[in-house]
Amino acid sequence: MPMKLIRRLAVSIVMIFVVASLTFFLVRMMPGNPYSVLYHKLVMQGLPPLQAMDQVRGIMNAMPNQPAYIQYFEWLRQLIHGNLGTSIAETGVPVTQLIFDALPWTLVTVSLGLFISFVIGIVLGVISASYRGTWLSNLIDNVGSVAHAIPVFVTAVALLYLFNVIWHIFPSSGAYGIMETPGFNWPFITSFLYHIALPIGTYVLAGFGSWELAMKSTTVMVMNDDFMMAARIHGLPRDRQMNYLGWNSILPLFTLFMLSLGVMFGGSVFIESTYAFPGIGNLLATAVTSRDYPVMQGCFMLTTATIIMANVLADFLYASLDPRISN
Amino acid sequence: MTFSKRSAKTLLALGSALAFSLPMTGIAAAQTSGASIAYAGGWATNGIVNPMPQANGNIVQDGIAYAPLAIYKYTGNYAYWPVLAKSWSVAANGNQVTVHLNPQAKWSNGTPVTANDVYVTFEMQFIAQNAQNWGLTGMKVLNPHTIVFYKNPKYLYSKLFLLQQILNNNNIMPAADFQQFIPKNLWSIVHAASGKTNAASTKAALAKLSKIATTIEGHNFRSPSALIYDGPWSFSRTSSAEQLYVKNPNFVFAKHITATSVLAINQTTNDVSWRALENGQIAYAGVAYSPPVFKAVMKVHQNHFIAAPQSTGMSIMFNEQKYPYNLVQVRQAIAYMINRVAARKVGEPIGSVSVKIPDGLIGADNQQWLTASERASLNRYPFDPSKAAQLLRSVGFKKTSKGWMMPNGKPFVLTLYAEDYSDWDAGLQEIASQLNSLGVKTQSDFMNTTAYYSTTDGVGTGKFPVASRWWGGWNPEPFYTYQQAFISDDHNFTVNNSGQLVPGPKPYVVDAPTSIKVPNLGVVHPQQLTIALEQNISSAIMKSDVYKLAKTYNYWLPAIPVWNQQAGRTYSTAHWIWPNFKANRALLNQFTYQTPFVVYQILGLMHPRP
Repeated sequence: MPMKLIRRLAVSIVMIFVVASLTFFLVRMMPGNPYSVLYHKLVMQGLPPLQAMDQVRGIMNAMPNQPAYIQYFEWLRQLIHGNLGTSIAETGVPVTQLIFDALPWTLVTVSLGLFISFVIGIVLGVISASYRGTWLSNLIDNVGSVAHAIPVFVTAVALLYLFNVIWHIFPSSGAYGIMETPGFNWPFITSFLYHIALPIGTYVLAGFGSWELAMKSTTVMVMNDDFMMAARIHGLPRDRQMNYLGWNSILPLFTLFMLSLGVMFGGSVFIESTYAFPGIGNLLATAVTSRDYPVMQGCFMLTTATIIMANVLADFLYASLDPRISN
Repeated sequence: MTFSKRSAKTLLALGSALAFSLPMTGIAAAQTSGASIAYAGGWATNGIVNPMPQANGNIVQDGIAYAPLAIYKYTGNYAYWPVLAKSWSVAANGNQVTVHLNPQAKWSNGTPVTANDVYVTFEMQFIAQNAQNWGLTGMKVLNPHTIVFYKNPKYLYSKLFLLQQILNNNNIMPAADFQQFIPKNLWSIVHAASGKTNAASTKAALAKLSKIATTIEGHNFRSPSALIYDGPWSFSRTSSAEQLYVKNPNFVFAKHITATSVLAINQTTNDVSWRALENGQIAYAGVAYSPPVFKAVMKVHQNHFIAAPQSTGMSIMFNEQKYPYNLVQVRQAIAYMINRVAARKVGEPIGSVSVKIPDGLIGADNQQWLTASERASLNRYPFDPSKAAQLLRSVGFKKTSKGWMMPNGKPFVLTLYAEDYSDWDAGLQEIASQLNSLGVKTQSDFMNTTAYYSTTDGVGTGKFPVASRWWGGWNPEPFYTYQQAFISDDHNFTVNNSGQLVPGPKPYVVDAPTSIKVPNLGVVHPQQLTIALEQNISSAIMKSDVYKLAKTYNYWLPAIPVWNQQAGRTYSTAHWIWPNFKANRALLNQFTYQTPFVVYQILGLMHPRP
C-alpha cells in the first residue's frame, strides 16, 4: 500500500508538472500582452495616449522580452525553489502571497457550498428514487435538472437582482463589511456569514441538481440489488433498509465529490467575479483580464494540483470505504 | 444521529442570534449618510497596501487621500486651482518652474508638507522613467517651502504640458514613507540611463531603475494606518468590495471638506454600480448603460446623468496613401454619404453627440479655439448623396446598376475594419448599411481589441485602409488630435526630442502628406503646425495655428469623426447639493478628468442636503 501510494503520488507530480508546463505556453499564446492590455485600458479610461505610455512604462517597469523558452527555463528554476514568481500587474507582489491571501476565502465558500449542495442533492435523490413515478419525484428531478442546466453566472446575477436590488436582504459584494476587522470575532463572523450567503446560495443552486440526479440513479440501481431484496424478504425495518440503501448508493458519488473540489475552483471564477469576492476565482479572472501570466499560471497550477490530488485521495479513500475495490 | 431537545433549543437560540445580527452588518456599512459620500471606485485586492499605481487599479483611490500641488481646469490655458501649492511661476523660456508650497499644507499626522516631499515624489517619477519624457533634468529644494524644476532646453515639451505634469498629474507622496527606497546614487543612475540607447551602461542603469521601481511598488505597508496622507481624506480600511476614507483634519483646505467620510465601492463590472445606484447606495459613478438600465437608474434616488465634454469618439480613419482613399474627393464623398446623426442614434444613443463639424475638435473645443466666423467657414458635410455622387464622378467613378464602379472598372468595395465594441459594431453596421444603400459595397470586419491593436497600427501600415478608430486625442489640448491625424494616425509618437519627425517602427509610415493645399487657405504644413502647438508659443499664435489645422482637417479628412463620446457620469442629489457645474466649463471638465466631488469638496462647493 505505501509503495502504491508513493507511485501514485510520483505520477501525480509528473502530471502536475506537465500540465503546468503546457499552461505556461498556452497563456502566452493568448492574444495581447500585459503591456498592450494596460495601455488600452488607460486610454479607454480617458488618459491621453502619450501619458498612457508613460504610465505603462512606470507601472510595468520592464517587459519580458526574452524568448519564451528562456522564460520557461527561468520559470522552472524558480519553481524548483518553490517560487511562483511575481505578479506583472501587481508589480513586485509575489504570486504565492496573492494565492495564499485568496485561498482561504475560496476554500471556505467552495467547501460549504459543495457540502450543502451535496447533502441536499443526496436527500432529494433518495426521496426521488423512493417515490419514482410520482409527481413528487418528477418535480424534484425537473427542478434539479433546470437548476443544474442554468449557467452559474446567470444564477449568480439572478440571486443578486432578487436579494439585493429588489428585496435588499443581502449585500451585493465582498466577503465582509468594511467596518469589521477580519479575525476570530463575532462581528466579523456574522458579517462574513451574511456576505457569503449569496455566493454559497449560488454554489448550492448550481450544484445540487447533479447530485440529486446522480444519487437517484445509483439509488434506483442499488434498490434492485440482491441484498436489498433479501432485506425486504427478511422483513427488516424500513429505516434499516434505508440505511443500507443510503450508504451503498452514496459510495459511487464519493469519487465525484472529491473531484468536485477541484472543479468548483473553476466555477468560482464566475461566482467570485460576480460578487467581488476576494478568492482564487476572482484573482484568476483579474489575472486573465490583465494578462498577468505568473498569476494565471499560479492559479491554474493550484486548480490542476487540487483535481489531481483529490483524484488520488478519492482512489485511496474509496478503497478504504469499500474493501471490494482494493480486492 | 438524534438531537436532544436541549441541543435543538441551543441551535435555535444560536440561529436566532445569528439571524438578528446579520442584517446589522454589510448593507448598513454601504449606506450613504448625510455626511458621507459613497461612490464607485475601482481597485484590485492584492493583499498589500501600497499607494503606488498598479496595472489592476490603484489601491488608494485617485485624489482622495493624496493631493496634487494644484488642480488643472482643463480649459486649454494655464488656469489651476491651488491645493498644496500656494503659487508657482514658469520662466519665460519654459525651462524652469518654481513652486511655492502652502505653509498650511500638512500631512495627516500634523507634520508639514515640505519641498522634500515634492522632491521625493518627482524622484520616483524619474525612477519610473516618466519625468525624462517631459524633459525634466532635475529639481532643487531652495527652502522647505520652495522647489525649482529644471527642464532640458533642447527637449521639445511645452510648458503647458510640463506645468500640468508638475502641478496636476502627480499627487504629492510622503517622503516619510518613500524616501527609504531612494538610493543615494539615484542621480548618477538616472544620468547613466539617459546615455546611448544600446550601450551596456545605459541598459544596466535602466535595469537598476526598473528594479528600484519594482521594489517600491511591491513593498507592503501592511495597513492603511501605516501611511500618512495629504489629501482631503485619510485611507482607513479596505476590502475587496469597499474602502473607507475618513476626513483628514490636517488637510490644507480641511475647513472646506463637508464629507466626514468617503466610502468607495469596487466597480469590478458595470452592474456593481448599477445595483448600487438603484439601491441609492452611492452618490457618484462613472458607468455606461444600456437604455433599459439607464431608465431604471434615473427614476430613483434623484440620480442624474451628465455627459461631460470629452475629446474623443468614433471615427472612420483612412490611410491616405491607399487607393482610392488617397483621393480627397473619395474621402469627402464618403463623408457626404454617412448620416452621422442616424449612426450615433444606433451606436451610442446615451452619452454622445453626433459630430457637427468634422475638423478634429469636439464641439466644446471648437467653441473655445475658433471664432464664429472661422467655424462658419468650415464644411459640415451634411448627409448629401447627390454631392457625394458628384465628387465620385469627378475622379472617374461610375454608378451602374451594380453600384459604384472605380475608374478601372472594378466595383468600389469598402472594408471597414473595426474594434469589437458592441456600440461601435452597431453604429458601423448602420454606416455600412447606409453606404451599401448608396451603391458602395461595404463590409465590416470586427475583431477583438487585443487582436485589433496587435496588428501594430493597421491604418498607418496600410493593413487597414479604412478603419474605425478613436479620434480627438482624448485631451482638450488640440495638439493631441492633430498629432493623431497628421503625424501618427495612431498612438505612436514620432517626433524626436529635437522636434524632428522620425519614422516609427517598420513598416509604419506617416501617411499624411507634409504639405496640403487647402482651398481658401493656401498651402499648409500640418505636421510642422502640429509640432508648433507643443512648443512655447503665444496663445494668439496657437489659436491661429489651430484654425489652420482645423481647416486642413476639415478639407483633407484624414478621418471622418462620426460621433463625440462624452464622459457619461451619474450623480445623485439625494443627499448632496452639487455646484452649478453646467454653467462652468472648468467645473464640468472635472467630471471627465477627475473624481468631481473631490475637487468640489476641496473648493468648498459641495454641501450635504439639510
